[in-house]
Amino acid sequence: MSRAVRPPATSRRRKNARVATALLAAGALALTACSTGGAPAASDGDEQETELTKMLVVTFLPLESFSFTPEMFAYSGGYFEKHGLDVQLQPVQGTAAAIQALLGGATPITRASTVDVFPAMEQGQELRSIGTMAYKSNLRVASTEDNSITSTADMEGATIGMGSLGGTSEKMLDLALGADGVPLDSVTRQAVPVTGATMEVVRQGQLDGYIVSLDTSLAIAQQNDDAVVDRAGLTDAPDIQTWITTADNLEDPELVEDLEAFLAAIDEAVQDVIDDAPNDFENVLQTLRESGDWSFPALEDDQVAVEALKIYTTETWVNEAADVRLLENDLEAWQTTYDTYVDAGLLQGGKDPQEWITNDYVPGD
Amino acid sequence: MSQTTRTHEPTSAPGARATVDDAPTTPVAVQRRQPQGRMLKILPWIVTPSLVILIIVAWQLYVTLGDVNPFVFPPPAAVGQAFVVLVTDPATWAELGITVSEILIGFAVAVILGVIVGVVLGKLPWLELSIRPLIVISQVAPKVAFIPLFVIWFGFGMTSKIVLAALLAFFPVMLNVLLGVRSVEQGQREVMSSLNASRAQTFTQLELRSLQPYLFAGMEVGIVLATTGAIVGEYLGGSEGLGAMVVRAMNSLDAARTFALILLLALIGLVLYLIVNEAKRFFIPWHESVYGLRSET
Repeated sequence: MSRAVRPPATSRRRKNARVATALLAAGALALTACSTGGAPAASDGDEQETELTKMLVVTFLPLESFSFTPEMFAYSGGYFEKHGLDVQLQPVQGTAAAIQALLGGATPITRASTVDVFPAMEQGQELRSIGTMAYKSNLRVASTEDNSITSTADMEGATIGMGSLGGTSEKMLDLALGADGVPLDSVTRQAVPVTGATMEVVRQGQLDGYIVSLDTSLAIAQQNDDAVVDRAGLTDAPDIQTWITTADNLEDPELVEDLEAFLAAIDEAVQDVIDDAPNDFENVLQTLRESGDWSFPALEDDQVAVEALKIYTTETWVNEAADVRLLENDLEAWQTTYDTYVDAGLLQGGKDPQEWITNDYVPGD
Repeated sequence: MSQTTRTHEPTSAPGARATVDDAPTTPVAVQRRQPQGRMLKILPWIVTPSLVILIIVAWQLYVTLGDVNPFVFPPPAAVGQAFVVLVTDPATWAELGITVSEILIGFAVAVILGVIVGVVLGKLPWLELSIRPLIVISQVAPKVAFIPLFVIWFGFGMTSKIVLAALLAFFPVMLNVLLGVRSVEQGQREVMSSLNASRAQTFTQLELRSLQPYLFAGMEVGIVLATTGAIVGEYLGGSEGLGAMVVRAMNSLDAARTFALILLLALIGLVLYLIVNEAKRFFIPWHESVYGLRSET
């Protein structure tokens, strides 16, 4: 789904809530009339409805991916409303656009990978990480059996496709190649549509492989007998996806309250997804499907959906070392990631990355 | 068009309109118009730079007074600096060469196909009527949405961008040519017929020359669309050319470089448009749209 602003579900729920409230009020009125001999009702139905705070949240890609399960489930499951928010999710094209939307004041919060946000932070942008969404990258390389790519060494001399040049995928590729001593310029990069259809181009030999998201990789593996989908060293490079806001926003008490409510809603939604794992995520998938808010192939495919959510709930949203709780920033991993980027030449270095991070707004136990 | 224009318009050229007022312009009238002509000549050299300066000043004031984050909207000085860095980098010129080649090849293909299809449809009204819905559908279809498929169908090199550039530029050329063929006056056809001109002669001596103003009108729109097509093609599915450079600059959060690249692309579009415009002046100096403007200035 790629609608610009997403009011329908909230509106629908509100409408339903209003109808239910009106019916209850009518029922109560009838009962009151019976019991009091027709005395007027004391309360108005609308007054019982809690006023929600509107919040526009920018996402770095359209939401049709299990990568955005936290946002989608918090939205359709009513978690945002429970925490007093009327959230509108606004996709933009790429992390850079999301960061610019945040800096320009169009959104109070977005999420971005450290590989994208560290350069801006190092250049003095007052960005603050207030929570971690993903503790590692989930990128995969799709190739064919005839010319499989399962390591960075396989990429030497190859043409590798990616969604956008200079974006997160390319930066992670550079990090992985650099870490393994593979010359960066030995790999030709090509912007391609990161869909299953591009496998045909790989078969034709125009591409040796291409970098895809977890959902797409699972779908490709399922749909193509000759497909090889591998991490190919890309997930070895550190990458943390964090919720970011600006230092200015954190000085506004009202906005801080909203940000805390947002993180609390996400936290609760993610925990419920994790708790639904023994049930093969049946409740989560049912909520997402029946809400009518989302429509993408992976959501309708039980096998892909369950497989993707398993990986997100066991490897991505939780810290494998289990020494930090959901959404909590891992300060040590943050520092290590910064140092790795500096060593790789991605950053100049000499800054204290701990200044850009805080756990003050993550929901407490 | 002023009297002066009509007075000097040659009547022998095909496609030229008959002179309405052949009376010589009086010296007084000429003298009265001379200052206006001079003014028209120097006007672009005053207005355009003034507007550019005004825009830059407003831009600077906005980013300074509004305390706008340079990551979101860089100040003009930063863009200027980035522009200088950009144009002094040999790598930029290599990428520019790729983009311009895609534009020119795509545009040439569009003109050739546009003329052929336009002439055929112009001369065969029943065919044009039959396929008109298809023409309209293909014109209004969002061609940019096909770029990912073009990349897969035509490869990652220049071909997919050339196809998009040609596709975008084709319709204005074709439609204008079609209109040009249909706009030949019946009286002129009858003159050719009375001179026993063959169909080929009628086509080359009358129709082809008559449709030239229409063709150039289509080409002026076409070159702009071809530029857009090539750049968008690179932007959405390429690794070479200025469009791909824009993507890299944006992903690097380098707003100044992004703006500089956009400025460079705009200048390329302007230069290509001016070339087509000059070609029009060269090939159809007799037409009102050229001659009239020249006599005004």
